[in-house]
Order: sequence, then structure tokens, then C-alpha cells
Amino acid sequence: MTALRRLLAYLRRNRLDGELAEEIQLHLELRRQALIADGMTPADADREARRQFGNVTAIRERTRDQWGGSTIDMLVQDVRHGIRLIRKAPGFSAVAIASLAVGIGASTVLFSFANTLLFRPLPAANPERLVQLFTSDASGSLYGGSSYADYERFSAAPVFSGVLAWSRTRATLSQDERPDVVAGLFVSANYFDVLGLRPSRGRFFRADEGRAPGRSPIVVLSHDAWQRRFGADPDIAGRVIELSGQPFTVIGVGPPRFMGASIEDMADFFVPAAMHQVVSPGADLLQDRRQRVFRVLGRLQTGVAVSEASAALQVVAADLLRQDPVAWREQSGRGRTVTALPEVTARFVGAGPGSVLFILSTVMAGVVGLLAIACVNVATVLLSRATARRKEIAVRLALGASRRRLVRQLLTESALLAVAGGALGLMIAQSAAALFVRLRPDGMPALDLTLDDRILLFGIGASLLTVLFFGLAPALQTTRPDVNAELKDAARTLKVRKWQFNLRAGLVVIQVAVSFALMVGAALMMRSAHAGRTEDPGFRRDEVVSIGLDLSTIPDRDGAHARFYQEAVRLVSALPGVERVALAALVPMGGTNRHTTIQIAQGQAPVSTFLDINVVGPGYFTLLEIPVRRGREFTAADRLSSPPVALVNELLARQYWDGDAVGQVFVDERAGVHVRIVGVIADLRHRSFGEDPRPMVYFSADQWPSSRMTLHVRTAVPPAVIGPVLQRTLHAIDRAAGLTRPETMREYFDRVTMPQQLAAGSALAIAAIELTLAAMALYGVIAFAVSQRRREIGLRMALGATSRSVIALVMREGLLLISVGAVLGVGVALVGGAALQSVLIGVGPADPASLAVAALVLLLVGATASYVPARRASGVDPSNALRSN
Amino acid sequence: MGKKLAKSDLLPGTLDMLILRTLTRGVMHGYGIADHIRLRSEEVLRIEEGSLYPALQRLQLQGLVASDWGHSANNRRARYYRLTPAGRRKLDQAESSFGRLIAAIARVQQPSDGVV
Repeated sequence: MTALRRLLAYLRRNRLDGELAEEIQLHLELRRQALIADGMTPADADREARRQFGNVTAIRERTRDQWGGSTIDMLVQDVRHGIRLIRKAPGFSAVAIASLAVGIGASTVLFSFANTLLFRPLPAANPERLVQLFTSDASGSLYGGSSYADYERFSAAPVFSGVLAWSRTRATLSQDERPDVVAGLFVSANYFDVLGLRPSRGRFFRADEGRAPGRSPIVVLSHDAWQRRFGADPDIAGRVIELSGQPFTVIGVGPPRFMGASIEDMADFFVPAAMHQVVSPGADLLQDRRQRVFRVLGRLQTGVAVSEASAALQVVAADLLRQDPVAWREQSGRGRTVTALPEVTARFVGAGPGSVLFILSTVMAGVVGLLAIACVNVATVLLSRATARRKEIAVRLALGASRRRLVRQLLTESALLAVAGGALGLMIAQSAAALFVRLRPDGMPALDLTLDDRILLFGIGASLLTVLFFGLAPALQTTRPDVNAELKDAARTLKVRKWQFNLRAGLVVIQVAVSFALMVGAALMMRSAHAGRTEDPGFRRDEVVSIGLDLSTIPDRDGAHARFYQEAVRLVSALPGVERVALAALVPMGGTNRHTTIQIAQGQAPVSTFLDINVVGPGYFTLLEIPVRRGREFTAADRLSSPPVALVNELLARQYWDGDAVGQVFVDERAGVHVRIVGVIADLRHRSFGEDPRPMVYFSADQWPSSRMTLHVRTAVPPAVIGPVLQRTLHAIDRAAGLTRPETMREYFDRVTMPQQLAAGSALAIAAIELTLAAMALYGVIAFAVSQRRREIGLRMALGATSRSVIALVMREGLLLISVGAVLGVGVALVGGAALQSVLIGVGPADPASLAVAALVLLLVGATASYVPARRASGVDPSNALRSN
Repeated sequence: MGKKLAKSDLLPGTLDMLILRTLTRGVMHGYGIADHIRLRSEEVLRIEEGSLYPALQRLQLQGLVASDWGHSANNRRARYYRLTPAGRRKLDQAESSFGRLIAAIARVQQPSDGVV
């Protein structure tokens, strides 16, 4: 209660102060009158009264102190004091705040990814009542998809108030003659209703609209697609758009931030399952029980538990087994099982490498690592600061400050740093997230990365923890009541000193190691980026424009795909300004790979080898100026009906045929055909920059057509002109074909190497920051060591040591720390480098040049950091040093 | 003339006790309290104002006295202090422990029979 009154008094202190003044005035007045009554003159009485009263100001202050001891008052004082201190040591403070900001910012961004993908509940009504239903697949693994017929049986189960189903698909969206391949879902008519969503425009499907296959196709767009592709057109409902060459009427737009019920299947459009064949002609997904491509989500009736639903589903499974013993069996002969999992748990199912969960776990590991490094940095800074202020604190303790108060004050300072660092970090996170959302590559659906409470909490929690942990230790340590020893600098507490020094030294070594590794990494990345830009990739980049063709939305009946490609090549070759045209399945360094296994007759037994392939059309190598070393490249004569031919690269030719491969034959195991080699091509890096060329086989596009190919065009016409022309020409052949944006080879190259440039830039920045921190830490430690050894140094100097030898003595310690750190750092760098291997161009992870440069920089910086305190040490006046015990 | 007493001259808590006891006699302002103590102690105890006002504040914050503004004899605005029930209880406590203390000291000071 007293504390409360104190607080109230503090808040009203100005008024109370005035009242007190008035009270004191009255007191004086009464005293004066009493004295006058005793016979004094008014003037004398006045003076006497004041004299007897005492120092009014002092008394007022002492009275005010009663309520000044409130917690808030102290807090305000501490905060003010803390701010002053932070401003007095801007270097230290900036470093601490920066490390916290970077650590918290980066980890918050990563955490918000994880949050969006893993933890955020579905934007549906009562998402906790939703369960996902899986049917076991033929191999027995539990979490497979279901057929539409199965879905209809599930929906009949009374444990559910509603069951929905969806299946993934792709379509070509033709807009303004710019076709784009988009992702979409076939959904049951009740999809949106079961999820409890409302359209942001128009309406959703009616129950009957799911029934009539193929008639007047309708579609619902996702909110994101509506904004991005249709400019948030307010009259979108009723508009007709073209999907895979067919007209679809848009009846509505989904709610904001909804891209589908599962992150694995995000969609730009939703079509009723009954109309699926309009989009994707082919198998009848509704009737064919073997098409187990539907994913099912059910909403439990109120009061029904998941276990009840599971039990009910077992009954359904048994029924299905009786009804359709053939389709409803697994390979083992057992009947299939139906599993129901709460929607949140279901997200984690099927988590192998490459799956979302795996990636996220790695991300979370990164988060923890980042924070840890940030904490170490802040710890070193705080420790150094605490060291520097030992004397000041000792004096304050001696003058009577309470230890608790001092600790509280030190903690407040650290808290201020944490708050500043945390706030800055969150701002960084916010802008990074916004930047990512804006720059997101086409085709990747929007992730809602806005900061929500969970993320904010995470950020605040992280900074508070750091502060508590690393601010408390030095605070407690430096306020230990060994005031005398501090003031005297006595060697009495030598043992304690040693431990303190070792702690700091250990931290410094860690920091040095980390910064060394980071510097090596940065050097590697920079060399890599440079090589990426300047090294010759082995093919021509100028005056080549490429456009991707995606025929997956066109059924390949009677060689429709081959016809398309033929037409494409014919029409584009006829365009004015076009010099050469060629098709290829893959573009070098595109990141995707295709393989096959071939069998080569070698002596007695044939040898099988697994290798990369590319499928290219006639004229490809001439267009890209890739040298044909022997034989020829593909021509129009190598048709589907001709004997299968192939080209190999020099590596493969040398490996099996001593370089002379023309005329040799191998067997393609996948297709089971004999293939004759007609030419040998120069090696080039096919997979990625970091890797050396591998043995490769090239097949003829006419003989091995695929649904996706890239059309390369050699032309002197500016890309801005030729691009739209290409699009129009190709679109006219078949409106259902998907086309990517035309790109010059140079642009493609920059795009493919852009991650490298970015990475190099970031690596350099991070390495620089870490190096600065390490340097400051080193400085702090050396300064600390010097301050402890003042007497020894003074003694040495008095005995005749030159200042140079003193400097050398101190610097030796610094260099020792650097060396140990560097050795550790080399280990870390090698390990890290090995991990980076796949993205490095032209340099190996143990690149001696990078190691040398990093070591040199470290040495220079370290030497400077130790020189400064060493210099100060040598400037010590021996007599002073000896006297100051 | 009595000695001017600072807080440090009294046993700790005595000042508070004196004030509380004074207030049992009725509502008083600061000057009145000091005056009363002076007169009752026959000039032996004269409270230093430097101690009085801080003490009054402390007692207020502890909830042992309460104050109201009123008018003095010659119509000047003055703050009057009164005892609260909590204050009364504290007074009883303080007086009984003070009494025990005094008795104990007196016993020690008594020349005991048979010992020179």
C-alpha cells in the first residue's frame, strides 16, 4: 500500500510540492508571530524564525525524497542515465544495437516464413474442426490421395457436417495475347462453403454446378490472381477469361490471402471438379476410381472428436472393400486404410528432404544460429563495456550506492540496448518481408508475411532474453562488493582475474574464428560471382532470344506436339530478322536435369552408365556456337521414323571410345533402343557453374518430343521488338500452349547468376560487420589485460624496458589470440566451404587465395586492435604505475 | 532552553511516536504539533523542522496519518493532520515496545544490591 501511495505522490509531486511550500510558509508565519508576541521586532522575528526553521530548500528536498523513492521515479532516472551513457559511448552502443538488430531481424524474417507455412491456421472458419482424410496407397504408405468416388462415400458419413475435395492442375491463362501457365484446383462444389469463406467479389459455386460435366464452364479466381493479373477489376464477375484455350466465366473472387486449403497446393483459380475435362482433357477424374488425385478435408460435426471420425471411416473403408475389392486393395492384398488427421498435424505429413517441413527445419536451425552469433557479439561488447567501467562502479559503490540499485541501473542500460536493437531488427524484418513479397518470382504464390503477434512476440522475447542473459552477468560481476580491491587494482584477486580474462579471451577467439570463416566465405563468393560474370560459359550469349513452350495443357493426340514444334520452327524462321531457330529441352545451367542410363558394349560385358541428357533440335549447336568436334549435329533428316541417333560430348567420347565416337552404338535402357552416335560436341557446363562438365548425351528433339521445350532464336532484331512478335506468332498456332516471357540469353545468364551476386554482396557485408565486432572485442580484451598488468609493465619500464619492447609484449598476446582464432576459423571455413561447393564458380572451397587474403586482413585488423592499447601501455609512466597500488 | 532535537538524536522511531501521540489529542497542523511537543516536554524536546515535515510525509505515505486542508485561527490556509485507525494501532505498538525498552534500560542502570 505504501508503495502505491508513493507512486501516487510521485505522480502528483508538483502539486504536493506547492502545498508543502504553503505549509512551510504558514509555519514560519506562526513562528514569527510567536516571537513578536515574545517581544521581538518584526524584522528580528522574521530572521529568527527563518534561522530556527532551518534551510527551507533542504527541508523541502528531504520531504520530497519521501515520495521520490518510488519505483517509477527510479526507473525514469535509470532510463535517462542509460540514454546518456549510450550516447557517451556511441561506438560500443552502435555495435551492440547493430548486432542485435541484424540477429533479431534476420531470425524474425525466417521465423515469419516458418510461421506462415507451418503454424498459421487456415484462413477458414473454425479451422480446428477441420481434418484431412488420407487413403493409403498401393505400397501401403498411409497418406495418399483419394478418388472422387471415395470422396463421395466419405461425405456421406454423418460425423462430418461437410466434406470437400480438391485436385491440382495447371492451365494456360491467355490474357492480352500473353499466355501464362498458372496453377489451379479442381474442387468439389461445396469447397468454399465447408471452409466457411465468403467471396470478396461475386459468388462461389452452387451445389448443382458441380454436377453437370463440361457445360458452361465457370471459375473462381483467387484474390491474389485477381489483383495481380486482372488489376483488381471491379467488374470481374461475369467476365469471360480463357483457360487452356477455352472460355470460362468468372463468377467470383476468393477472400484475401486465401490460396487454397493447403500450402502444397496453392492456386490462382478454382474450377468445379465436374468441369475438369474442359481444362485438362484426358482421364475422367470423376469416374475413374484409379485416379487417386483428390485430397479431402472434412469438417467435424460439433462435439465429434477426431477418434470418432476415424472409427466411422474404418466402417466406410470396410464397405468400400466389399464393394470394390480390386481397386480398394493395396499391393499387399490388404484393404486400404483411411486416416483422419487434424488439419494442422496433416501439414507435417510426408516430410522428406525437399519437402516443406525439411526446408523449414533447416531454416529454423539458421534462425537459432544467427541469434546465437548475435548474442555472442552483444555479450562481448557488454563485457568490454563493463570492464571499462569497473572503476566508476567501484567509486559509486564506495560512495554508498546500493548494489541492487546499481545492478538495476546496469540492467536498464542493457534493456535499452535490447529495445533499440529489437525495434530496429523488427523494422529490418518488416522491410525485408515487404521486399520479398514485392520481388517474388513469377509463379510463386503470395505468402502472407505480414508481422503478426507471434512474430512480434518472438522478436521481443529474443531481445529480452539476450539482454537478461548477457547484461546480467557483467552487471552482477562488476558490482561485487570487492570495492577495495577494485580501487586498489591489487593483485590479491589474481585468481578471479585470470578467470575473467579467460572468459573474455574465449569469447574473442570465437569471434575471431567466426569472422575468419565469414571472410573466407565472402572472398569465395566474390570470386565466384566474378567468375560467373566473366567466365566463358561455352555458348553464345549475344543476339539470342529464348522463349519457353509448355504444351502440357494440350493432349498429344496423333503427334499434336510434334506438329506444334514443326510449325513453330517454320513460322519463326520465316520472321524478318531471324537468322536461326532451334529447339532444346533444357537450357544450360537452368537448374533442372534430365537423365538416362545407357549401356555401352565394352569388351566382354556391357557397361551401364547413368548420365545427363539434353534433347535438342537441328541447328542448335550452330545457333549457340557450340563447336561440333567430329561428325555432325542433328538435321531435319533425323525424324521420328528414322533410326535413333545421338550426339555425345568430348568427355563421354574420350571415356569409352578414345574420342572417336562417331558411328558407335549404345543402348538407351529406358527406351530400350539402340542409338547410333553421329557427332561429338565440345564440353560445356550443363548443370551449374560450380560443377565441371560431365559426360552428356544429346538426343534429337524430333525423335524424342517432350511437352516442354525452349525455342532459341538468333536474331539481330532488338529483343523488345522481336519478343512480342514471337509471342503472337506462337500463340496463333495453338492458343492453349503455354509461353514464358521471352528472354535474351544475357538476361537469362544474369538471372541465373543473380543469386550469386546477391550472396556475395551479403556475405561481404556480414563478414565486415563481424570483423568489426571481433576487432572491438579484441581491443577490449587487450585493454583489460593491460589494465591488470600495469604494475608489471611499470616495473619492466623502470627496470629499463623500452616502450617498443612493451608494445611487443602486449601485441604478442593479441596476436596469440588472433592465431588461435584463425586456426579454428580455418576449420570452420573449410567445413562451410564444402557446403557451399555447389554454388561456387571457378573456385574450390579450399581456395588458397581466399584463405590468404582473409588471413592477411585478419592479421592487419588484429594487429591494429592490439596496437592501440599496447601503445597506451607503453606510455605508462613507470613511477605512476608502481605507485598506483 | 531545551536541546534542539534532530531525528538522529532520538531513538529511531521515537519522533514518529511523538507525533502520533500528539495527534491523539486532536487535529493539528505542523506548527501546532511541534509546539505541542515543546510545551508538553517542558522545553526539553524541540523538534527540528527539518525532521518534522519529512516525518509527517513518511507517516502519510505509510497511511498512519491523513491530512486535510482547512483554515487556521487567523484564517490562513493550513494543512491539518489527523490520526488514522492504522496510526492508532501503530502508536499502541510503538508505545509498548518503547516502554519495554525504557524499563530494560532502567533495570540495567539500577544499582543492584550487594554489588559495588
